Amino acid sequence: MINVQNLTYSYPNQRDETIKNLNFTIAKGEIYGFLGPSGAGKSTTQKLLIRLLSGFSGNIQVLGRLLKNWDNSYYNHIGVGFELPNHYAKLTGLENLQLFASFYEKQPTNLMALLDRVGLADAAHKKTQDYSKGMKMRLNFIRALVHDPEILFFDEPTSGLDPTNARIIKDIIRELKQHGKTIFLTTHNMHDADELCDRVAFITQGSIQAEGAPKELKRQFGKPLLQVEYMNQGTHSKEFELSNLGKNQEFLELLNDFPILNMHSKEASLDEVFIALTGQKLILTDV
Amino acid sequence: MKNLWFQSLKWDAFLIYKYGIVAVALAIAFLYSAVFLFLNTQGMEKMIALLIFTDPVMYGFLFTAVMLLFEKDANTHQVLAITPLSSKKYLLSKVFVFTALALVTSSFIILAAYPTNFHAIIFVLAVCLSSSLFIFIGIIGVSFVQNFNQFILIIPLVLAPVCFPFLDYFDWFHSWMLYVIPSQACLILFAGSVSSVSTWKLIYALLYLTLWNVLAYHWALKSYQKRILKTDLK
Repeated sequence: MINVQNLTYSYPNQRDETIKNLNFTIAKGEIYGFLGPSGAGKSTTQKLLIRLLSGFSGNIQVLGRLLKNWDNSYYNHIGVGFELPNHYAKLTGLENLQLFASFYEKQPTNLMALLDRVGLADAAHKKTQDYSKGMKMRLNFIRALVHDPEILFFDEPTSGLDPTNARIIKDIIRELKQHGKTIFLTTHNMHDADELCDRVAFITQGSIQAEGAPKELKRQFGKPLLQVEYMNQGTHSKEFELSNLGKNQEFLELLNDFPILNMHSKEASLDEVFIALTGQKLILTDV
Repeated sequence: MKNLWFQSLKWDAFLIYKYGIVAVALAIAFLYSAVFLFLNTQGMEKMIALLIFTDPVMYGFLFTAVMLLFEKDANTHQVLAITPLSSKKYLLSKVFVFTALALVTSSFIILAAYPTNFHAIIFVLAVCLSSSLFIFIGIIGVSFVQNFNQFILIIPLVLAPVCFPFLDYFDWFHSWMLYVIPSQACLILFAGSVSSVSTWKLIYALLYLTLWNVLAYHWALKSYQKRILKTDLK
């Protein structure tokens, strides 16, 4: 679906390269997470992929065609959810959707159903200047879906949302994947990435430092241990090697003799993997 | 296949209505019309032509700028940029809608001032060519600023040269150099629509304004793509 080779880009009047020799591919129906701290080049990469920036070197191929060979019809195939709200303040939520949907070839999907899906049906006829930030973000998100595109780009889709609405958005992203949509997710939120992405790429200073399935990365950087918390005149904790756990006498006795409070494998979190690989922590904004 | 230009036109008309621009334009037009209805306009052709000239200049330059700044502030340019609507169609739609508005309001005013005694074709050409030119100039102006406060600062830079040809118009000063300024051509057309103007001047005005429109269109398109879209995006 998306094939990026040796992608390099510098902003005009800047000597340093913002994007340095990126290589990655995204298969149809895959959710690909692009993770990195502020200034890493995540949003710049997305802008290059959606043709909002030009003048790069290397190749970007989308839907089997080089990006430079696409005309404006490219936008019939992609949907973009921006990081910050961008709506006509004097128009209602529904009018905003209708306006942008009218420029795509495909007839818009049921817009009221989309609004309803993210809890905005009651506010459909309200001007967006009266929306809260969370409402605007949800409207941003569904606007990317109005023309039922094959590829979706989401930049921090759960940013500014309460846990309930963030859950709704994540559920929709999963449904989109089930319907065969390809999704490029730019985020600093490791939990979202862990939960949603089939594969992630860690990007710092314009370069991809590591790439892989979250599970694989976490296993690779974690310890093959099981931590057990149990009661024995107070709370105690013990770690066991995962290998041959079923034959580990001490572990089996502990299970039999004491009430178990909880058990966790000691795999690394995606945050820990990121820090281990890049030596950096994630922060909230990006270029 | 959808006609995207038509879609854009439809929404631009809706937007200028929703953002109150139509209401303001009509209010100004009714105010002028009311004054001219009760005024004896005999012998005031030059002054009235000048007042009508300010109408498309205002809608072109100021109102387009206001609308673009609303859009810039709301960051909707970057959303439009990821639809199949091209920058060319976006700009031409703005030109058409604001020119249509200028034509309607200017028509009210001239009909109030001279119900029967004006040259309709020259008048329509004067409004359309002046309005479109100043819409392009408005877009170019907006591309250099971030907000309306900054835009106010550049208004004199544009309006001062526009006013130089008034010297010739009121017979205070004559020079061939004034014919280089496009507003000289606008004034000739507006004067021609309510009084007698020599043919060579009308031909000069039509050709020169057309040329300026072509040049300003290309400059506006480049400015929009380079400064409004790209600055929004970084």
